[in-house]
Amino acid sequence: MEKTYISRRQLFTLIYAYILSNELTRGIYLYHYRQSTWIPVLLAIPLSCFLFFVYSFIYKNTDYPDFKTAMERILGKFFSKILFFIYFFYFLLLFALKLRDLVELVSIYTMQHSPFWMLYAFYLLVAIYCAVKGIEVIARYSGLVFAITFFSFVLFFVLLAIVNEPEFQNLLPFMPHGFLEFVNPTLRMAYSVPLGELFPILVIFQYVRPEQKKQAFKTSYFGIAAIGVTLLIISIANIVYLEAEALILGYAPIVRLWRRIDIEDFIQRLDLVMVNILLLNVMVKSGVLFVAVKAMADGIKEIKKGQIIFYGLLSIGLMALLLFLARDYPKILNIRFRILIPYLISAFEVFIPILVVIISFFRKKQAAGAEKQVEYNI
Amino acid sequence: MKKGILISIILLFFLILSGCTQKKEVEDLMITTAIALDLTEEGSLELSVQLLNSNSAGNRPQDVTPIVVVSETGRTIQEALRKVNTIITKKLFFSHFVILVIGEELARKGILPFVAFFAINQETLHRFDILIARGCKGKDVLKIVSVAANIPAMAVEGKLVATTKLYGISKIYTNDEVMSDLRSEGISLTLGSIEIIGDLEEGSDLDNRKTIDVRAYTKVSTLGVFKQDRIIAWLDEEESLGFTYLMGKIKNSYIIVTKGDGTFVSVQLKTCKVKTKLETEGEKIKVKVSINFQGEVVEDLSGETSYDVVYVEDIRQRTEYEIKRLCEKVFSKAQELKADIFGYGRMIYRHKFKLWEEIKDRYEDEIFPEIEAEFTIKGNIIRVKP
Repeated sequence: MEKTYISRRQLFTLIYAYILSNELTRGIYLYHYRQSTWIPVLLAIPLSCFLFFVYSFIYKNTDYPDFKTAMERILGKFFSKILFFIYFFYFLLLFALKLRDLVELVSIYTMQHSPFWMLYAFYLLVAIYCAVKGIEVIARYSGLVFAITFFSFVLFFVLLAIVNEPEFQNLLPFMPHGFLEFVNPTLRMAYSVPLGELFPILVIFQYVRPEQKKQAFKTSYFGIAAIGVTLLIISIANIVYLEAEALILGYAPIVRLWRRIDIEDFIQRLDLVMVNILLLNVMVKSGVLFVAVKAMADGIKEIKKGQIIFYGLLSIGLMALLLFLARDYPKILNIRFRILIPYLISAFEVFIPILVVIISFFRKKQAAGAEKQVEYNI
Repeated sequence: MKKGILISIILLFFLILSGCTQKKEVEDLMITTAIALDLTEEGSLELSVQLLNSNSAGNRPQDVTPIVVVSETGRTIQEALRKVNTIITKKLFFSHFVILVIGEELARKGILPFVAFFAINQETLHRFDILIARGCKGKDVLKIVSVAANIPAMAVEGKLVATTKLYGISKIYTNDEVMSDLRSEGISLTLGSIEIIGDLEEGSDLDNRKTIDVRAYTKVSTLGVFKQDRIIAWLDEEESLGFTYLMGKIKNSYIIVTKGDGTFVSVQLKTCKVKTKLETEGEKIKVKVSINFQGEVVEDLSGETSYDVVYVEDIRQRTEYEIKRLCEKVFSKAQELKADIFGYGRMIYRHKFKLWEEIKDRYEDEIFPEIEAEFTIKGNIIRVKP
């Protein structure tokens, strides 16, 4: 891989697109919370920032090296290899799930008859390109996607406000069953869909320009908060314009909202435009995840020759698995909701990273102690 | 070289992904302009689609039928839709259909499953209006040709919009709004309706629009009241108007007031603002509705209008009284039907959630009929047309 770096600004746009692509499946969270859907989103924003703040100690306690070195300094070579090995599969799983979500979105809204393998292949090709060429490629692309997304949001919200009357009463009753019912969804939203799954972002953090690394964490929090506020606005807009009952009718709440825009039978079906914008954002997430997969593979053993063959074969295997095992989307959603999010993703996004951070503090203390010893000896 | 190969592969993907393999030419589509759902005598679902005859589009001779109506039966909408393809050769295109007409008989059985089908359907725009065919089948409404518009569905939509905006006895209600009312707590759905005046056979004959005295036509009728998802009663014109006042949806309407000498005066209402307040004392609920209007006197059958303060004040008071009467009438009717069409229950759910939890099971049958309502109507006559 070429040694490439990304700027703080590019890190921001990467995070924005990465989290926005989770909007594909956020609808599955909405059913139970209806008019209160926005509350866990609001609460999850600081929590998600805090989680990333905790992750940041992996670099801070090891003096900002690359991810592999940081892990080796904390866990030692043997255990870090084990960690890379399990995270290699975890990131692949996230990547596969995202591809499946994407295919579902395309099948429902835009190209119903396009064969699944074609969509998988296209996104895998882009992901391999990112992995081989480096994060900078996808970072540059994310800047463009951010501009398109942001401009579209502003324009669509203006059009929506022109032709529809908001009904803020739809947000009531406020917390009808008390605060406790929001604890679980807040936690889930913070470490999983939509504001979570941020460990791959920590992996690509190693590609931030060395001189910007210290400030880049602030950029990351700002990025999470910015997209969090965007999702919050989308949630509230959905409720005040569509009402909670209409909001829960699809997987992607952001898409249904824009269907409400209809100006003189001329400007309409902006939901399809939004689907395409989401597809652009998903490309960023799939690229980031594949770069993270590659980083994990390099952590185990760096592949210097035949990278394309390795990742090509990996992609073909992944595509075959998706085609044969992931046809039944409701089943996937069910497994994700009942097993993956509460047990697997929580372990990989919360428990293991926190354990690593705790160990990193011990290591830091040990290193400081050893330094002091050297000073005394001198 | 490598880059060239890569770009070629990507371009190849673009070719396939752009949908060229599954292209749909406009000529291969049949544009659906309206859909009707009815119940057959055997109890199965009958779906009718009004299809645009593309050969008649533009400045073609008017003796070519602009539309065709095709019907099929099925256990579900999807089944009936698929069966329609046994009659027509082209693929149905739903993006432009403007009205969904549900036959009264089917509406008495329940509409939720059918409305829900269209709510999750991605091909439709979700901006179509939902109407009940009053006293007839939805299919029949689609068949009545119109003089005003070449496509009957457009004519019905135009009538509905005009009636709602200029008179106020009907309602433009989209799929999302219907779904919301049907699934929300504390509100009963109301929907606009359409009826056929005259003979159906003659109304579906193209010759019907060649005569000056139209033999059959569709007419926007008053609102239907639902309980759960079943229609249970119809409001009359005054009640429908009263309902529109209470919901604050009057945009431009008329009130006819009777002066002391028995002559009629038309007052055109320009703006009408409504505020609804809820007062509770235990389970005793009181609704306070204040309506503020601005109107102008546009017609006086005595032949004389006046700028005199006494005259204007008299008309103002009589207008207030008339609006109050309409509101009270519809409120009594709703209480009699035990159907909270105003959504006061939803207000309790939103603002007094604990109370709602206690009363929700008894709300429609016991609480709503006992709700006390206070209507305060205030307004100004801002102009007297000479």
